[in-house]
Amino acid sequence: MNKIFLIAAFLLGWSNISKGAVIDDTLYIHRDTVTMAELLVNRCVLNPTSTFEKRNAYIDISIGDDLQLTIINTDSIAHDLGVSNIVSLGTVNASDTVTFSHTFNGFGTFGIAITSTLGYQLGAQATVRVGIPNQSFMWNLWEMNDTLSLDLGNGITSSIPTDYYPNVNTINGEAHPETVADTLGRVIGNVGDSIYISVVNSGNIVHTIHFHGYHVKIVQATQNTSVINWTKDSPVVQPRETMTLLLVPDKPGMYPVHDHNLISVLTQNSYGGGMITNITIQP
Amino acid sequence: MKQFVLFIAVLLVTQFSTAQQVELWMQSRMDGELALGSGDTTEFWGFGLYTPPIIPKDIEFVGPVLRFVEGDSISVHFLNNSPEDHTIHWHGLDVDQANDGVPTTSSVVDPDSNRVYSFVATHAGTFNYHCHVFTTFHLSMGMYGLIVVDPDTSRNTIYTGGPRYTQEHNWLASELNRNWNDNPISPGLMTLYDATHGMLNGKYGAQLQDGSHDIIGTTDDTIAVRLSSMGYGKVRFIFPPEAEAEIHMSDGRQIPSVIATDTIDVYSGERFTVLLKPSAAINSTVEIVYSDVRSNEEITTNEIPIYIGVTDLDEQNIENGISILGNPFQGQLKVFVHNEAIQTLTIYSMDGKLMGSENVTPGENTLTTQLLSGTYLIHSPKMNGALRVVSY
Repeated sequence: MNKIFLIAAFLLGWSNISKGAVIDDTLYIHRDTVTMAELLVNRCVLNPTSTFEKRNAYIDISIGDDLQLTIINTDSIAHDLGVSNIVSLGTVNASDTVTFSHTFNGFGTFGIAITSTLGYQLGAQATVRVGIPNQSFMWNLWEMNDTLSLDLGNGITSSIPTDYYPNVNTINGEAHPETVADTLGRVIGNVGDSIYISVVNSGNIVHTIHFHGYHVKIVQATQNTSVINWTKDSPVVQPRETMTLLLVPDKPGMYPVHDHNLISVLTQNSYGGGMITNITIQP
Repeated sequence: MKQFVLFIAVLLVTQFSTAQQVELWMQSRMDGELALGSGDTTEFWGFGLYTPPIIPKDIEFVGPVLRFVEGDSISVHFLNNSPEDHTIHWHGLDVDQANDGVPTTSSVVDPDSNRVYSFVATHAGTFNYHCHVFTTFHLSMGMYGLIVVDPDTSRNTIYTGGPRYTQEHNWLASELNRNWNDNPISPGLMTLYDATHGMLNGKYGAQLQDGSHDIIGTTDDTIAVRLSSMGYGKVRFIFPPEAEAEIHMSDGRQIPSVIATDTIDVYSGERFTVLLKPSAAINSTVEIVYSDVRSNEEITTNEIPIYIGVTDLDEQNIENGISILGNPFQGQLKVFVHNEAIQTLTIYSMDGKLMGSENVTPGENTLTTQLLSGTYLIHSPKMNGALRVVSY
């Protein structure tokens, strides 16, 4: 009798250990006009509260966790959602609320993204960081042309034209030098630290992130998986790709890190803006 | 006895280590004239090497290839011989902050001023250098170049302990926005960048058909091709399948597993080291397709000829249209021409350098050469590849 009880208790315990927790969270779909990189744009985001913010949300969970995600759509149109081009979650109609569930069984950086056209173009993608240790930073990239975003938002056009000239280039909703004040994006650490950086391309074009001073190891990627475990100074992030980079600094210093597609390091016509932030490493 | 052992140890380390102190003198200028063909020219800015005290007016488009050995301690004496600020950023070499060449975190070099950049080449591989002042513009104007760091044991391996190669090609892809180079004083909105030319080592289109970039070899060769991009878009290199291209390194580091592929996309700032291990005769081209990453539209395509001959057995020589009569040879190379379409034969060194060319007729021909001892390739565009000949 006792033996059976012990086996049952063991199996129950094993079941609890091997299965992740159920994590309840809520994200709001907002779309509004806002000033980004000194220009007025139409922006779509997944925010953690009912107040519009130009930066997308992020959620930290553990490997194996089941994310029960309630999406509240405050927009006037329906949006489709998915997880990093891996799985489709479904549709949330205008002014509607739907709860989706997805279990994250792998380590790394993933996106909860709007996959339907307008929300995709306007950069709506929250980051889910799965099992990434505490000292982690995040770059959610989005580029757009200000006039085009307003035309897209107003329904004047519905597609990115071939003469697409982005003039709003942002990391976590900010353009350099404002990116340097962003504690989530600006990397600060010490020599020898294991620093994880989650990179999420919520933009419409490929972005190549060039590190000064250091190489990084690509420890996870959702599209070009052939580069996993490569050590690079210029990892390439495709549209809607999410990627986890590991930086172990070998020396102190303050270095820029920036998109090496050099039209993306502009704020309007000023060089030194756009997708640039800093890495500061203490001895 | 202990001192003797130590002496021997130091001697051995000295003999096996080829790393050394390296000093270079580089200048930047803003008065280059770039030939675009048919007498057409535009302005470029760039870098050039010099030997003091003479400071020539020459700069190169693109900048000269810098070649170091892993472990070298390098000092680059940089003279900004121009009316505007410039720097040199050592792209991918992971130098310390003071020598990184970024104006805001290291320093600029004022007009008519100089500084010394000091760093150690810690890893073998392919790297770049470029000006990091107003980079969006200065890159298009031409201020960049390629760096190759050889492993310390040999110039014929791509990294220490890595595979050997028998010949090499270093390809730096880039773009030119002609409108900016024509009007550097008022180039207009930077966000409206549009490439007008896709370049390889500073040349494009027909300029690349002069033979200087051709890949010429045999199925015995392992050919290293270092790919790099300092452009703004995507550069797709498409090798013939028979070239059996393999990616071995990226961004100056060995990759965990070799990737066999004939198509390699290189984005701005990326580098790849590729080995070609041809499995059959090739008379084809390497296609280099330049695309705009904003529109995904193709800008232009360059083609590099690739001629691969099979190992020089007699019957294969006949298939190629010629037979070598007496190989190796000394001074005079006798060639029997079977194919009347072959009217010219050209001799290249194993690294692709043109050594000489001579007209031939069907039947036996004697080519007079002044080649040093070594292995060379003999080739005609009408041949199905190239043949290896040995001068002694």
